[in-house]
Amino acid sequence: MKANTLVLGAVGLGMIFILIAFPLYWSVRTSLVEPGTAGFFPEAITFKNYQFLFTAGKFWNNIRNSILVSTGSLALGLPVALAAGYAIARFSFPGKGASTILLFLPLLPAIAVLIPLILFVRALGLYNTLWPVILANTIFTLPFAIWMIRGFILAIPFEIEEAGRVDGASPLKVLLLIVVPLAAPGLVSVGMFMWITSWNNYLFSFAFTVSPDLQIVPAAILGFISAWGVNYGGLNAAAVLASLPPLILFLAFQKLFIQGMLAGSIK
Amino acid sequence: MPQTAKKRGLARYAFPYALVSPTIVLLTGFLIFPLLALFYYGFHETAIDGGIEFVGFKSFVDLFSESRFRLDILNTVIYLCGNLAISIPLGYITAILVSSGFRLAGLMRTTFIIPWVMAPVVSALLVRTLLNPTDGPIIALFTWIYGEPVYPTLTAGGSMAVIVLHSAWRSFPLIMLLLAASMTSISREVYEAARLDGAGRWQQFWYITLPLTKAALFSSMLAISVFTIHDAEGVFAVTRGGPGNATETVAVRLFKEAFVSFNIGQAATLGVVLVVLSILIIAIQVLVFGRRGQGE
Repeated sequence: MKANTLVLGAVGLGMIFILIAFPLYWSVRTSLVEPGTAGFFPEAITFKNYQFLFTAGKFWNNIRNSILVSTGSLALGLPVALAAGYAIARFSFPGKGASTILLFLPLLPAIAVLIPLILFVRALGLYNTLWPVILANTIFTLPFAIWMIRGFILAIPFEIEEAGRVDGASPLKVLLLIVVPLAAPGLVSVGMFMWITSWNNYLFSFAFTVSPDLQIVPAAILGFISAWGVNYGGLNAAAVLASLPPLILFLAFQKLFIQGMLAGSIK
Repeated sequence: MPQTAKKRGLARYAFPYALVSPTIVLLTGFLIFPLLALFYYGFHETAIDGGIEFVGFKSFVDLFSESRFRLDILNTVIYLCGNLAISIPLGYITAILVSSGFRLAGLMRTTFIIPWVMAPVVSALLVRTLLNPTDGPIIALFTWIYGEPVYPTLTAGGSMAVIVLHSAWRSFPLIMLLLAASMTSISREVYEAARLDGAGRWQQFWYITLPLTKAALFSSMLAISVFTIHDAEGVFAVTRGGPGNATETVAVRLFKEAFVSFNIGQAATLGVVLVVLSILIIAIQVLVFGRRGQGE
């Protein structure tokens, strides 16, 4: 058995290195050198690229916009998803079947629906604001979030809620004071997933905003590609910073996150 | 099931209706309504005098008779199948590694999920950085192997390989997660019994692991297929659909028509095609795998 474990371990480490560690290392390395420097372990490290990002690049703006969008869609989406997930998990009502079909909507291409959406947003006068970006992110993560929350709630023994009702609590109180605390780990992982997905999304910002000061972080990264060529140093500096929030969040909450993903999807 | 207070008629369901109403409003307004509008635009044309007239399937017939569009469809199929052909085995290998229960398994699982947590635009530009003609390490590797620099993105085949690999890299973590979860629920005794019966590792995998993880494989495959067909940003950010139209998938074509050429009519037609294509791929997979994947 020991030899087998060694082989597995070696294969695993090799794969980690080739697939993950090396590309990430290369990105960080490229962000820390003068654009155009060659070599695996360059000696001349500079923070010029990062400095450029925050001075001429106005990266703080992008970060602010991304935070607004991600947190906005989380703040809007999580309560809505919680309500719907709870309703579908615990109640039967006429039209419930139809609601379940709504959950299959994320299988539709967002990019296709985007065209009519843009015309719609224009008509509402919301074009070139962050509102449609927040809304679009909320809506496209909603079905998945509802499904996951439904799974978490189904895992909670119903007796506890029943006891609450017997004690005279209204259904709303049962939801807020009993179910929410019990489902908290699941809610955290769904929330994290929504936040990260919004943070990583570029399509909606691209479709609905035009002004430079409304651009989010992925847009800033693409800004380093121009007709004159690509500034790989700046690009990777932006890419590294753009990847930090999702990575940090994920590493901090990974146990919850993975448990959440699996529990929600198996039900 | 809990009963709300016994009121007459639909008022009984006031609470659950209240709970689902925000969702219904949002999804109807921002998904269903635009979807209907999309189909409307696909079947109507704006005449020169500004009037809108019903043209039936004309725009679709025009589209399908384009050779460029037929290439788009072909590219989409290649992109999808290429991704699955790589990400599924990779998913299995990493799932086995991660559920093997030895100390490094946790570290491995964490690192292998990273591609999934990265933004598509970020990983696409990472690919471009690695393939940078001046100092990209992959180019350097090719130069070392072949004696002269090879630039994959200059050829049609090479570019397709690049976007397929990129997509598979982003996709395998999800497959790994679902497969690993499924694998850990297979009891050890089944493998023990097989081993006592003389089955080798490969046979154990083929006759035990594969059949018992079919459901997880099917659902992850469905999710990845849908994501891959819809993926415009991931391809566009790497190759822009080039060289020429060699890596232009239907999604990329839609993206270009809508946001580069501002060709709304054409984009709407493509949008309808993409929706139908998605439904087709889902239906095919459900039909082929749906029954076999159930009830283990």
